[in-house]
Amino acid sequence: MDTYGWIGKFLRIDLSKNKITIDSSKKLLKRFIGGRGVGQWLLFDQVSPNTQALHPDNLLVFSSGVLTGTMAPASCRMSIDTKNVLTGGVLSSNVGGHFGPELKFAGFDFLVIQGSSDRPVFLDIKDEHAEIKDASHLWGRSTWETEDIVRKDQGDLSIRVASIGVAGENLAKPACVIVDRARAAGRGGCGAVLGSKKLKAIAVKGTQPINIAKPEKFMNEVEKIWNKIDSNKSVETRRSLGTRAALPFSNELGFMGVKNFQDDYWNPQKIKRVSQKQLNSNFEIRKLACFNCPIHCSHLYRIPQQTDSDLISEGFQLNVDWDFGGKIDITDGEALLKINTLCNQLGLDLDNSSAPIAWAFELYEKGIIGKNDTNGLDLIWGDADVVTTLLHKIAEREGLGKILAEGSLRASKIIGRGSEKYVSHIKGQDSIEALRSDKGWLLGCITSARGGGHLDGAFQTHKTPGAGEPDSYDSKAEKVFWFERFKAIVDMMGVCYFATVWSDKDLIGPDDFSRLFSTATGISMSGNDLMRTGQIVRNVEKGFNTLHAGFKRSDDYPPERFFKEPIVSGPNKDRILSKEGVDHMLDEYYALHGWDKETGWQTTKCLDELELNEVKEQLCSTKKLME
Amino acid sequence: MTIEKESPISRITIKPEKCTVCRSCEIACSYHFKKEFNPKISQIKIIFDPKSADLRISQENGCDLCKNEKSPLCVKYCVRGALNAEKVE
Repeated sequence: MDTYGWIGKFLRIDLSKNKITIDSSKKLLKRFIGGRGVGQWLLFDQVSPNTQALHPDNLLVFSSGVLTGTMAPASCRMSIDTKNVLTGGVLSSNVGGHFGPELKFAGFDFLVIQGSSDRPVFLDIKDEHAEIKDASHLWGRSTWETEDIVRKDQGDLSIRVASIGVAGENLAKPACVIVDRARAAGRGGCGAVLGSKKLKAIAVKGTQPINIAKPEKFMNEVEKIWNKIDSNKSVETRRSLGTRAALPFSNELGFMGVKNFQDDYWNPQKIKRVSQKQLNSNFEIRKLACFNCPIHCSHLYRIPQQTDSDLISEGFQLNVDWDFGGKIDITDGEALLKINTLCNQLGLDLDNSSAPIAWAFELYEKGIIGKNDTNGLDLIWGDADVVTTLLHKIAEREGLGKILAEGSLRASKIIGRGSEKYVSHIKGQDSIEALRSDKGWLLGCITSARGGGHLDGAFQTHKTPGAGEPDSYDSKAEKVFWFERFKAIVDMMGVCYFATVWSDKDLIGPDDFSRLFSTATGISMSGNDLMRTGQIVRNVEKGFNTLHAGFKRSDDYPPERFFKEPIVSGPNKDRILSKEGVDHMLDEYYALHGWDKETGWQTTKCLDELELNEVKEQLCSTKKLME
Repeated sequence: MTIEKESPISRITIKPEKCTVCRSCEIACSYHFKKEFNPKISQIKIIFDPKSADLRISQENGCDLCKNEKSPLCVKYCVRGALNAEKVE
């Protein structure tokens, strides 16, 4: 045994040829570490720019991180990397739960899937073996039913399942992959990619060890970090109320989009109505965590039903408040809980399905669409029943749902009538973040490689030392440049972002990761070395986006309406984005990367410094490389 | 629920209602025995059925209460106090 931290094995599945192979590439591990790093490189290296996301030639990579499954705190994460269904560029979606660790216990770090089956199949992985099995009995089932059937058939409750619901089967673009019933690899439509390959589910179970190069030293580092997390005040809040603890405060800071972003401030009385404390006192049966996570930000609820048995379901995170609370004005916590459950069962990403619904509600309010367009539905803000109906329709691609299942941008091209003015998207993917108040948040979201999203370079200015004032365009670029490299490290390690300095300045930082990585693998890398690898991964993604989607500077801007419509109420009233301000941040950001300011493209110099010859050559041959 | 071990030093008491199903105890236990991470060899097992919310925590016969440690590792890494080490008088 000479691989530590990693298992050192790739499981490759060709669904077209019904072929399974196992190999290893230590060179790749040293260069791209693990998780998203390796996944993104495989995509760049093996998917042609002409390949469409739902074509059999698109690659689907499930990658555990180098620390996934170890005693490193919150070591639960796995990346799913594939071509993005909504943007045509890159996607790295990340999921917690127990699947990633189990993949390593089964003897693999990476699962690389290509081709497409001609009939529904699922993949059954057990202890260094894999089998492609018939899934006709699972097709048409919800993700929950799929998990239950797979476990029941094999009589083993500890089998972990990643699956798609009917949304993924029907190639709805907001389709996601669900793990452990309630964990979603949400954005970018990766559920539709599984659907296009007729891959309903992946079941995994393992009894193999993860070995560590320097076990005592590794455990010393674990203990130090564990204590740091355990004694952190912000962690204590997260343990009792999850990410929803931030709801009232974040509303005051302008992070809540309201009624499809007509405002960025939700009435505080409405926030009280959906409070987490109330849900906990009414329904909570236990606190719940992902694998080896001391933060345990989730909750398990039992909700009495009028008919049938009780609904047992995990609680939801803050983004449901953004998605269906503020943006659609639903003010009933129990309704939000049920919508969250339904999305998980249908295999619909909460963010990418709420956005086109909120957009349709605004079009209805403005008279741009009417009952002829909505299949007779009355789209009145706050109506959870109508939202539930539309979620089913999106998953089934039926009626108005068929249009909304394309994502707002494509849907606006189908509907026309000026509806595009109300779309909030970045690079073609629906954007769920309120962007007018905090400029650090704004810059991170608009430059994110996967098309929006606050989990790359975006940060919250008020809790980031040295980032200036939230409303100022200064001092933001250097922080986004820092956080996006750092997040790449986090995703390569396979640790949850919530356990890091992104969440609280006293949690895990690059030097902590350096010590964990070095003692786990026996390969010495400093915090700066890791940050450089983060930059390399970010540049692989940038190259992919340029080659596959043709993105350039003009694709790094926020939705146009935020330059024209100010926030109308609350502490941030009248805030509006300025073109000059955004340009100032982008200029600084490109300069830090060594990218060309005019085009936004990469330069020979920056790629030479990062030794990314493969990216340089491909960009050069398509004349998209600047000097 | 209380599981007693034949040990002069301590026993581990289990409060399943406090368990978050994180399974840190399982991999901490495997580290104690073989300096590796592997739930298979853990002497404490967490089995959770998400459908019914039923949870079973079992301590296997091989548990030696981490004699060489200050306290059992499963207890040390249980942040909610579902597992507790108790001195036996």
